[in-house]
Amino acid sequence: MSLNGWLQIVCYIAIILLLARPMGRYMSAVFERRKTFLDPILIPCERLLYRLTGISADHEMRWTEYAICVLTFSAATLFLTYGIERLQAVLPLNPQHFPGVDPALALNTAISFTTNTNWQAYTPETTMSYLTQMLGLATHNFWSAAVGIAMAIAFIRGIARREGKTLGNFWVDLTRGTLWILLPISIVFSVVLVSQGVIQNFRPYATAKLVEPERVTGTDGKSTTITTQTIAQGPTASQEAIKMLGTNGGGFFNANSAHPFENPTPLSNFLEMIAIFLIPAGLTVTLGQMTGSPKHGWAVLAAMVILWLVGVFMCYWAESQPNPLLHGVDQRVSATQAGGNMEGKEVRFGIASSALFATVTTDASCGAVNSMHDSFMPLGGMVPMVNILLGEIIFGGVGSGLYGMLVFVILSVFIAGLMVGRTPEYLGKKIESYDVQMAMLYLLIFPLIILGFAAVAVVMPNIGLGSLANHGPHGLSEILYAYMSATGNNGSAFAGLNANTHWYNYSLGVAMFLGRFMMAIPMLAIAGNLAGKKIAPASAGTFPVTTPMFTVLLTSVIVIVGALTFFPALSLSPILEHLLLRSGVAF
Amino acid sequence: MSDLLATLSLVAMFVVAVLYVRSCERLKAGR
Repeated sequence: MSLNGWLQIVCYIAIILLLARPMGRYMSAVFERRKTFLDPILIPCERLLYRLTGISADHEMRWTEYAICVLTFSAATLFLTYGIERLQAVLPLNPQHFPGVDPALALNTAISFTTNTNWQAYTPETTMSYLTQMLGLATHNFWSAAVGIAMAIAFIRGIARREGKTLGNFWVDLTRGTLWILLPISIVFSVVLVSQGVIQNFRPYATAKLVEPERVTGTDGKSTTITTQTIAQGPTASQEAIKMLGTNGGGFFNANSAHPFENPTPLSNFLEMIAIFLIPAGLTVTLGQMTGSPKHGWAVLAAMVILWLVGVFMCYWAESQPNPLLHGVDQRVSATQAGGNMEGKEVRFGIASSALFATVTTDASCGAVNSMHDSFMPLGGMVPMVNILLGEIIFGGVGSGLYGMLVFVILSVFIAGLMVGRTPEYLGKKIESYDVQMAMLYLLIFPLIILGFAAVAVVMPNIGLGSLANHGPHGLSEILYAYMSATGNNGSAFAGLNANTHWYNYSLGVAMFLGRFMMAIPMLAIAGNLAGKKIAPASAGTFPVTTPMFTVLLTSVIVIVGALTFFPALSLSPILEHLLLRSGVAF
Repeated sequence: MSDLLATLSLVAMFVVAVLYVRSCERLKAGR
């Protein structure tokens, strides 16, 4: 570890904390329909959209109607993407003349982008046309992020409203989230990325003549001489900005943010990481603003920062350690080398930025990568796994991170109530059996999907294990990672697993769908139930949710629930791999 | 997997999700 590395990490979190307040206040103004500086331009656009689609902006929805609208919108956009993928061969903006996407892969990809997962079982630059990337995938980056924000805002309204039955209007929240938040920031951020060298064009792929032709031998034993290299092009910057801001993570290129056309400089790398946490951090302030308890928002943010800090320290430390299997090699930090484990990392980012990126992208549900998590040391690779397995509530995905964290808040308040022997209250609302039932449903579905599918995959030698490039505990990590990434709607891959098979395309597709909607629905049910309750004044028995004690309890509950659920699986994968590596065995 | 099978799978998933909404609502009513 180096001073330079820690300086980057400290600067990063300082900027996030500085931006959280203005971002959060702006978002609360947007969703409470108060005045913002963009109103003169956007209000006419908003009115036109409502007129064209016949939406009544003043119509208030109960939680069930809100949830059905989420499902309807997601279904419509999912089928649109599926159709575009299948028909791309006859649609425009396909200069490489790619054929239609295979049905199983198209299904997987359509679910993936609709659920904000952006799991990619394909190589984008050899599979998707420019039209598919823009109209089929990048649009989902906006929509799925806006749906996530809308659901989080609905949850906040459920907490804030007293004796009401409604949570707002989904279509209004979706529209305002897209027009006021995602679009303006993405446009500005795209231009900044172009200034750093991210490409934006519609050209056919370029062909470069190699300075040194290379002779290679294929698996069939035949030798060929390669004299040219194809360089993929495309409208990348416009997709890159929302990919990070909307915590989507689906790369325009297969190498994702490790590709020099997506993430060319250390500055673009830093800004991309800022974009991932920008909205999730701001939403904690929005929570405080809209519930009238700003300190509660800060207490939730503090819990996120503590968990983030532990993860980034652990990952950075693990990746900075020398590999014990490399004997007689100088692996110390010096002016000419990063030190530690540089396998799978970009030289222009180094270990600190790679560890920070990996932690940030899995704390949030982003899934973009600037280094290969599969090449991390076992304990370094365990950090992204733990971040996802905790439910991606450490800042989390846009919207989904906050409502996931609020489910843990309800559980923490419930446990605190049990400890002091009083009816648990959360910001004046009594937490009753139905709220806890729904919270437990939310928390139990997650491990059930991950461990269930992973268990099925590891007992099928041909279908499940046949896709593995590595075996032993590392192979188990690859399978576990695929299902946790899909269920958590993260989308990053541990690599080493060929997921473009019928089994993986279909099972991961189902996992992504269940991980998004089967968890969001109980959350909306809690919101609907909370909205109808009275707000009781605080008494001596009320557990305050604005204090450091609350932050400590919340952090402890998250860690304990995560450890109890997933420690056995982790002990058989990265922990066992670490112990075996120390004794000289690698996979 | 054919287009028909993929479409039917997607429709089935959304139908299950809608039924899930109803189940959560019915649980509140104690039914």
